[in-house]
Amino acid sequence: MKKYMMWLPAMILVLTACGDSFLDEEPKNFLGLENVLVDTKGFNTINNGMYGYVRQEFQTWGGTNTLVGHGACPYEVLQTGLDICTSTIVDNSLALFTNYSFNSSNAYINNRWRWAYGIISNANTMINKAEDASVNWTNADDKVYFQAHARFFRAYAYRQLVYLFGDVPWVTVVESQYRNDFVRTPRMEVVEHIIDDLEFASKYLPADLAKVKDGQLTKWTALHLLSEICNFSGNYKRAETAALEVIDAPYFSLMEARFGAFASKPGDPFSDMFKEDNHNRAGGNRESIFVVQSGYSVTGGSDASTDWTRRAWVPAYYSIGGFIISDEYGGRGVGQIRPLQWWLDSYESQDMRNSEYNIRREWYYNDPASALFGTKHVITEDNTLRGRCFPTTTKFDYMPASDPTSNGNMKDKTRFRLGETYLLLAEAYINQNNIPDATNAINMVRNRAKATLADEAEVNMDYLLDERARELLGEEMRRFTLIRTGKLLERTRKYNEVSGLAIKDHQVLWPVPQVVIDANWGLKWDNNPGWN
Amino acid sequence: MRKKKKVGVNVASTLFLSMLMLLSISMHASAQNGVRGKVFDTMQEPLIGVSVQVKGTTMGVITNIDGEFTIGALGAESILVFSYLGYTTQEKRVGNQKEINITLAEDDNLLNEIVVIGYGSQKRSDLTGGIATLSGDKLNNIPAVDLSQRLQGQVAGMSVTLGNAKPGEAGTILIRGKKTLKGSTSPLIVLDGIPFAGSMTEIDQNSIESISILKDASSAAIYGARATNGVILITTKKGVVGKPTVRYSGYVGVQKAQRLPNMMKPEAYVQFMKDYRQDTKDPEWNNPEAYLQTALLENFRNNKTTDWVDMMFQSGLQMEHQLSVSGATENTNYYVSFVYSDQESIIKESSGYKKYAVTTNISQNIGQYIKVGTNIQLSERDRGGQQPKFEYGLRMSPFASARDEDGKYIRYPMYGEVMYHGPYAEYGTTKDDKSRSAYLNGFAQVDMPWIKGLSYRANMGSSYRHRDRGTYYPTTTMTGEAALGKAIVEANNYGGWTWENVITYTNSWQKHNLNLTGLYSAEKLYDNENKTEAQDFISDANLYHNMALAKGLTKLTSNDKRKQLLAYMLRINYSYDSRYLLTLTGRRDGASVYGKGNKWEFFPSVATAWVISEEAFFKNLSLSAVDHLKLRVSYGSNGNIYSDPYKSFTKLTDQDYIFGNAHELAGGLISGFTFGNPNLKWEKTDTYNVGLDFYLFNNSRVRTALDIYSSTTNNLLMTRTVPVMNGYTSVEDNVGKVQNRGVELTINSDNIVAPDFKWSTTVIFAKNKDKIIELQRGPDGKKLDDISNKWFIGKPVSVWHDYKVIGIWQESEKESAAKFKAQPGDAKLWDNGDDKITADDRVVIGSKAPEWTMGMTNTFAYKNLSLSLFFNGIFGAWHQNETIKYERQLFGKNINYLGNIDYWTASNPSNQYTRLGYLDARHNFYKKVDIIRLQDVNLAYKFPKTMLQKIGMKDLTTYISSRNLLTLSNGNKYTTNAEQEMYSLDSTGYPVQRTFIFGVNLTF
Repeated sequence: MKKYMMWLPAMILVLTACGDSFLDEEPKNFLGLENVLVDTKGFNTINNGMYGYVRQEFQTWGGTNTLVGHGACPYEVLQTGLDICTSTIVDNSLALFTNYSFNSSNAYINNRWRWAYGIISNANTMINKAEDASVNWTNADDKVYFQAHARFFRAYAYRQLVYLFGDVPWVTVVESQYRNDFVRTPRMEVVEHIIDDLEFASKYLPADLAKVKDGQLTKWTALHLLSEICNFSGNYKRAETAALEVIDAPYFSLMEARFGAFASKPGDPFSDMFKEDNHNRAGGNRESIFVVQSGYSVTGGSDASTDWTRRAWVPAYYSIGGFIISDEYGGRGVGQIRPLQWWLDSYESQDMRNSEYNIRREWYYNDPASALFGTKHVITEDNTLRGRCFPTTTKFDYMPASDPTSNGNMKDKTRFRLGETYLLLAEAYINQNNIPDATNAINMVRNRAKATLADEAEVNMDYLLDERARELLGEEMRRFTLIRTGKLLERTRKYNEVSGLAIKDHQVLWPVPQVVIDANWGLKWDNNPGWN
Repeated sequence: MRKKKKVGVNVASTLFLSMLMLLSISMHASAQNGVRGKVFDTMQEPLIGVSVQVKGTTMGVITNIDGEFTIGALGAESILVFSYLGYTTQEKRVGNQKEINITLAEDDNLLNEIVVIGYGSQKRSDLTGGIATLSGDKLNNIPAVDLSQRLQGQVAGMSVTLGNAKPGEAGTILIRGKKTLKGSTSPLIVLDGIPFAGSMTEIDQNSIESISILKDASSAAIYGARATNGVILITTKKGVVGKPTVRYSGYVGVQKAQRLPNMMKPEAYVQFMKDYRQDTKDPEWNNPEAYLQTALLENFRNNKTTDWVDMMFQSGLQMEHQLSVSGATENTNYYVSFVYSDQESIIKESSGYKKYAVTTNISQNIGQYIKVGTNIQLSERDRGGQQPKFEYGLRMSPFASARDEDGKYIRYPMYGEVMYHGPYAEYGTTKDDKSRSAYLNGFAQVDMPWIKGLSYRANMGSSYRHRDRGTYYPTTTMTGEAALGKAIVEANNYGGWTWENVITYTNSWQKHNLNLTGLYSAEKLYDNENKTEAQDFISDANLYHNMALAKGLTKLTSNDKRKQLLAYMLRINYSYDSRYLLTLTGRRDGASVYGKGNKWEFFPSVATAWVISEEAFFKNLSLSAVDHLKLRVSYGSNGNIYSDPYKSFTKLTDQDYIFGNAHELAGGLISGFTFGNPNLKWEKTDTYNVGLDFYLFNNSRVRTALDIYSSTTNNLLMTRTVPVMNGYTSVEDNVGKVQNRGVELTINSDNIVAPDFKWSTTVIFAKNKDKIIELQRGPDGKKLDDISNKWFIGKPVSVWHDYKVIGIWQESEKESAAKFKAQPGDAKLWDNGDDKITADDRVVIGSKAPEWTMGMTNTFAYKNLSLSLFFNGIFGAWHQNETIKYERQLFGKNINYLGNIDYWTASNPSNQYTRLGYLDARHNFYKKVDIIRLQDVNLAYKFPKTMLQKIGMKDLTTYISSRNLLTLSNGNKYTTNAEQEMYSLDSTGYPVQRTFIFGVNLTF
């Protein structure tokens, strides 16, 4: 019996020997910043992630690795309700932005804010961690290389915030202990920070395009954006010089001859720029400065919700009897937004940008099973209002053969190109009352389009904005442009009969998202004037 | 940290040593004569396996198949104790008798019922805590394939919600309300003594012997760390000494949707579209030809219609068959069961649910002092099959055709509107989905021979579960066409082990009863997955079985999660004279999921009970109506852990990119919006419980248990929403307090007890009210609401917070409406008086949790026939009703809509539904919903024993039964499942099934 008794204390000792290390967590299924941002490779990994995140600028819903799903029409809300287009009756969430009845609880508004600060957060981490002496850099200039990227991305995000919301908190760190008493930094102070960031980026981003991959940031990307933001800040001289630096660089020229994979098909140099694989320099395009990389069904490519520009501009003609979805009509559009008539009428007939390859004005019934097959469709007002048929740009046509009803537009997207740089230069000159040089800059673009050259007498900010619409429809975020030039109210009221009546003076700025005000309870913010 | 560990060891060692000191030795035996005899029940049937024990000794035998026993060498003063589960124990002095025949009566005194309490069991009369029990017999004839569904409405204070009524999906179990914001709300399930990490759907639903639900903190305290949400102890069946028992039980029946959405019929649909267009000022409103899609026009002109609801749903067979063999000898006990369940889908062109389970329970005595055993549960569940997107089917216009001339399903029946594809767009997809699980528990119990009452038990539990899924979308399907064939192979593995060491010591002296239980346990859980997706296959022939054949995009995912738990526990149960009862429990828990330095926590509890009816003064009162009166008071502290580990880390997420036309991959990572918190610590709940048990009238005809409780949860685990300017929007944190208060009442009443007729009623009632006491404090110390998370001081944990619809603006109110930029037919929103609808006008609409629940079972038995009716009621929960938020319904696309919505028009001034053109994305609609369900009806006939004996059968019962025969609810018309938190046509959910079955229980 006694020997059994020995067992108990022994057993207890064995049992309690299971120490605290048993409770340690050693996660194997993810990485943390602390074990990635330690060397050049790690910084490069986060930097690649930044490109991927920035690509979600107009991500609609959740795809793979979606950080911000903005909702169905995040791109359209920056186009509609202004002077170039209006929404059809397809999407109610978009209609709010045409008739100016959105409010601070709106998801698009909240998600725009969230998307921007998500970029800012990751950029701040990169900028600050790069200062850590323990980072193991492969090359001595890796540090500024990555900081230049991060500061460009931060500027890219803040630019949207200051345009849309006005005063926003300028933050430079990720808070280890969260705060809820953020202060809104005056808009123009933030703009100065953006300029600092872009000056830095333009200094340290690579300049030699032979040494970078298509899609990567370069010195010229930063300078293009710098020119734009300086046109907003009032530093028009810098806006001018920055634009000129890009224009004078040996890498860029306006596309005046046919190029790329579709060069032998009917078309023109302007339409070539928007064909699949032609956005990048590798496709022969010497105009592109910043191109967001997409790619259908490839690892690392965009997903079906990343870009819905085709749904935006291409009408839902297949909703009309006698039509089926087809490549020749741009694939499966939904017709969320349609260009206003003045825009269609603003082209001269010989203007390349007005050619049948760039603006689709005619439809022929294409369903072989239909009795109407081959006959011309007469566009009705009702079909136009419903987004089923209207004259529109072809820039965003897209239809993968295997997936005709695909939601996504997986063509690359040009964010900045030389055509716009000339127009930013013109803007800088107009802002400095230098009409002759402004006219020359505008005429660079008009010349390529084979349009009649502008006359100094007619050139002013409105002429420039008309020209931007002719050249950049759908490429520029029109809301940004009109805010920057201070013409939003005036031109919306002049050109858009629906939104012009609806818009109120205070609605030039968006309201700060209600969830942000709610979460920042430590310091109560008044919303932007008129939005309370 | 180091220091804390020492404390842990010391506590444990001290506990065990103090137990040793309490030991005393007592053993006697004296012997002379032998006695034999036979034991019968009141029907004069021999009773097999009755324990015959010599009082005060360890000597004893068990009756054989014929109810006979022989016991040797007894003195005249010896007393034999005859005991048998479910029968009243009898004692008989031997005297000079050589033969003792005895009749045992069935024990209808429920106070003697043995209740499993976790690491042991107790007589009901000795319980100090709030414990509810369910017998397996009660659950066995309920025609629901899953155990969780069978528990619906059975216990006061325990709710089982079927968010998704799809066969194979487990219900969500909640005991005494939500005590946490972000921690787990699921009770801990303990299967045959071992914490069960799986889903309740994996448990063999027909091998349940009993279930104990530990509701209050003190009884749950022995499981400290995970006991905040209560504990469900499941004990499976064991063999009974005697001839082997072979039992078959099974049923066959049909099931169909209890209710299907009442979509508009063609005429109503046409009128509706006209009304909608008229309201949205379409000049062509009266001419459907102007706006109907081409795909619909022809059918509209020819009035060719399709009833999509009718087309998509069907009745399905449902059956279960269980065969079990059990038995026991003096030293060996076994129970083996095989069960097969098959439930066809009630949705056409889709597969049902199949489950196979094997349960094996074996125990063996080795000599007098050692017992070893094993409980094994194996199951396989098949949930394969591509379910048609019936939610989209509901939206199809009555003029849309489902099939083309060739009989093939049309992908876009409303071509022109391709957002709502046809329900069968993925028809032809292969989808295999099999889950297998193995729970292997072993135990060894050693009764220390030299110290009476001391025993040691080791439990080893091991679980292994995996789920294998393989999907292939051939090129003929919507997904497959786009991807040129798409395959997904997915494997999930879950499992872990538990090691428990339990030492118990029991002793009684004079009027004192003492039971000590000491525990040390360690547990490890893992969860990992592998997933491969690939596209663009050369041929559809290989399905997902050769991923290497893919030419296109591939995606690889794998994941791994682990967590570890350690615990020490000591429980002392002490009673004096069956009048004063005391339970003390102390438990120290360590969990890996908390931050370094915060992993350990101590959870104490104390419970006392006073059996007033045993007091002399009470007996002197001669209150003949009161048979038993017990007052219970308890306090306990319990913990809660995150279900997911690694919350104290900030994770990077995958974010790849490509460069150039060659799509050169650039692997990337990025920080999302969640920030890890290394300071995360235990969430703790303190609960006070006062309970009263009283058994009344005529041998306890009415048995009542009343419990009142109040719990406060501190250091709430919560995902705090912070301004995104911090660099993230959410951070896991311990903040604030939540309170739960409630009342539970259970009444069992034998209303009529006549020889041939019995009527009994069970009523359960529960009311729980939760509220947030504190979240965070502002700079001035003021308690603050957290609007972004919809958490408000003084309000329940889960609420709807929104603009409140208080009616519909009518024509006569045109001018007032205009102030709010509204027009007649628009929703009238509550306004704080400033004549503007702003964010400040949002209010708490109501709680998502029900105000109260009630269940009532009536059982009528006439001779061998019995009828049982079970009503279950859930009252006063608020549900979001998105079905009447027209903005989400996209009427412009000519999709179909609910047929019974009395929407506002100028000529139909509804005050409940707006005009059809009303769009206000700001707010939603809500409804306070009551549900009363006739959940189970069972009519059974038990064949008389005399008849069965002739064919060698012990028992034969046949029954017909129906589940969900009737549901009354004011939420019914919006959804197929009124219990769903959100009513939405886009996620209407698999309909709740109404089942009719015929069943047989047969025992040899």
